[in-house]
Amino acid sequence: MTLIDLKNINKTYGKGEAKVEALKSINLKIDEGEFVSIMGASGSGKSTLLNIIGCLDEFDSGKYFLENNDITKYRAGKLAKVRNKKFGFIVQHFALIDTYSVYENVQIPLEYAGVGRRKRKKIIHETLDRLGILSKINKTPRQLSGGQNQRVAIARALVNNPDIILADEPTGALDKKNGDQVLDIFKELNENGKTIIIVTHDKDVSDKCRRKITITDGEIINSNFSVNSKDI
Amino acid sequence: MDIKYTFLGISKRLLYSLIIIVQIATSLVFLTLSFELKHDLKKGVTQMNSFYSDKEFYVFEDFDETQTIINEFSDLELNKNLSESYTYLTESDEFDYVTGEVGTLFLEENQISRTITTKYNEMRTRSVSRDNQSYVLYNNNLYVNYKFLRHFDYNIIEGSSLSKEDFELENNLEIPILVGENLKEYYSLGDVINYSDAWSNSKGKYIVKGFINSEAFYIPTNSLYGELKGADVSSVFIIPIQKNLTEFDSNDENSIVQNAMKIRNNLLSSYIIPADNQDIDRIIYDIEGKIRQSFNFRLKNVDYYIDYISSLRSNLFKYYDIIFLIIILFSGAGIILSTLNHINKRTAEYGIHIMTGCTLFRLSARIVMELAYLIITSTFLSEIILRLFLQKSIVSDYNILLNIIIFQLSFLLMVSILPVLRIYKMGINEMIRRKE
Repeated sequence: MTLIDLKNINKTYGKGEAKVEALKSINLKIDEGEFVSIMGASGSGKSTLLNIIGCLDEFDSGKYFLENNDITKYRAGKLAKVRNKKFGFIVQHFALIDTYSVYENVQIPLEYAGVGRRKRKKIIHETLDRLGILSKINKTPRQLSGGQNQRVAIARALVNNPDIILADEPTGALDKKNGDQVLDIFKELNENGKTIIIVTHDKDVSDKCRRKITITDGEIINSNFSVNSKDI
Repeated sequence: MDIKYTFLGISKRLLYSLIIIVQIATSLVFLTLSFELKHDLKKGVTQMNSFYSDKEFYVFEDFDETQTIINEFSDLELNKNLSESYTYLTESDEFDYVTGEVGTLFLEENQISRTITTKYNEMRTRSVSRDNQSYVLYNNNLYVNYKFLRHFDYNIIEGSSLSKEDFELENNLEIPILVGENLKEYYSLGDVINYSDAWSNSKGKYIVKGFINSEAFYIPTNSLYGELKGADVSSVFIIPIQKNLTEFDSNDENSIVQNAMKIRNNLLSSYIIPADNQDIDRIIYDIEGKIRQSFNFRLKNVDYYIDYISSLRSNLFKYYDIIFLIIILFSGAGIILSTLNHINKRTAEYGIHIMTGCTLFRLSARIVMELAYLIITSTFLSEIILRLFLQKSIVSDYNILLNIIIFQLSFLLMVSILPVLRIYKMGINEMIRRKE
């Protein structure tokens, strides 16, 4: 089943001479359960594409179908619900709130989803346990290592049980060992049915994905399934 | 949930929040003081202008230093400079008097007992209605003439007020007086009180004509920017000065000096004489006649000085306006910068909330709520500071309260609009990627 269907998406930044075409007539279909990497050089438009997929950014023209629903004209409130229910976000620098504890960070999506306190607590404990960081539940991000912080970010992305995990350079701030562990988690999630979309400029990371999308100057130049996929 | 995150935002950055609260509270204290000062000034000016509007003003100017009775003032050179004498008279504790008319001896607070009734402050009086039982009462005597009553605002709670006839009684008649309400338990209407008066050097009887409310008002002429002032008359006898009171009954030198001193004090105590135009000539004539028995003086119209005071007041208004503006600018700018800094540090936090399901509108509302909470807390803190250390209050006056509320709403709008606009302009993508 097609989960994400982008039709002729265009996105520009700036005006006049400073105008930059970030995405040019992007057409992309991603099916349920895929493990996709979006690869490209810095400034190629890969993060913009990910943000549009995750309803974090608007586009100038084109259509976006999510589970066959045209979400192009969704209002802010409805898009916020889509973000909350359908997507789990993971970014390079973890995007954790330093002043909140691990528990408080992880519970944010559950709060917006309207999950009750007891159920929230249960889900958070289970998720943190699954990721091996339950003992860090009362720590703040500053008290944790990079690998642990990324696990907290993954926990936050997972607690609402979203269909799609969007990861923007998830291993960029981690050493190889921690990076591999994160990718292993993604692999496991994908095996359990989650659709994973990773933006990366790291070929090794990209090689571990089933499908590799290459983007250059705002255009998709390759959207094939990888033949050399490692480990998969 | 929004309320929860509002409080979480404050409590997780307690130091920043406290700095902002203290900044706003300090500004509010200064603003309240400024508002109050300005308000008092305006009120005072209105009252004073209304009081002065239909009157002319005269000052006694002593120009003969050879007289024995004014030796003590010879080095003051009152005659040389009218404004200097005015300053002296208005600032000297010795002349801290309040009066509306010639001959009035209404003195401010303790002055009345010190100057007039020192010996008789403790009055032994007898209430006829209480079977000749004696009481020792402590009270002040307030000697007034008929004209002064027009400038003295009090309420009769029982009986009736003094009439013109009460000031022109034949000798040996009982003098009707008004009595403060605290003394009501000792006296009844119509009670006759024996007195022995040091000031008038006479003995006689008072009869209680009415009881007055404990709070009366008068305009202190020794205050340039004053307003109607409250006087506690709860334990006061208001005694009408009889027309022929100041008679000299002795010819020896000592008595003349004493009597002259008495008159001089009386006159200087009423150095500014507001009077109706038709009365002024007669008043001047009467006063001059009496005072010339003791020393030389001239009576000088000082309306120009009153005009000068009015212009001074107007300038003072401008001066306070400038101070007020500076306070708003400095405190406002400081608080806005702190707030922006506070919000700026939390950009990533806001981005994370949006990423996980919050809308920009909801987030903006939360920022406004948070700032409103800080402002409300600051208001309570400033009220505590004002009450504890300055014996003042934001809620003491409707106008001040209104001004503070308007200021706070404008301030909330100012400090909210910038961060909210900034967040809208920045976009979610940039917010999330900002490091805290």
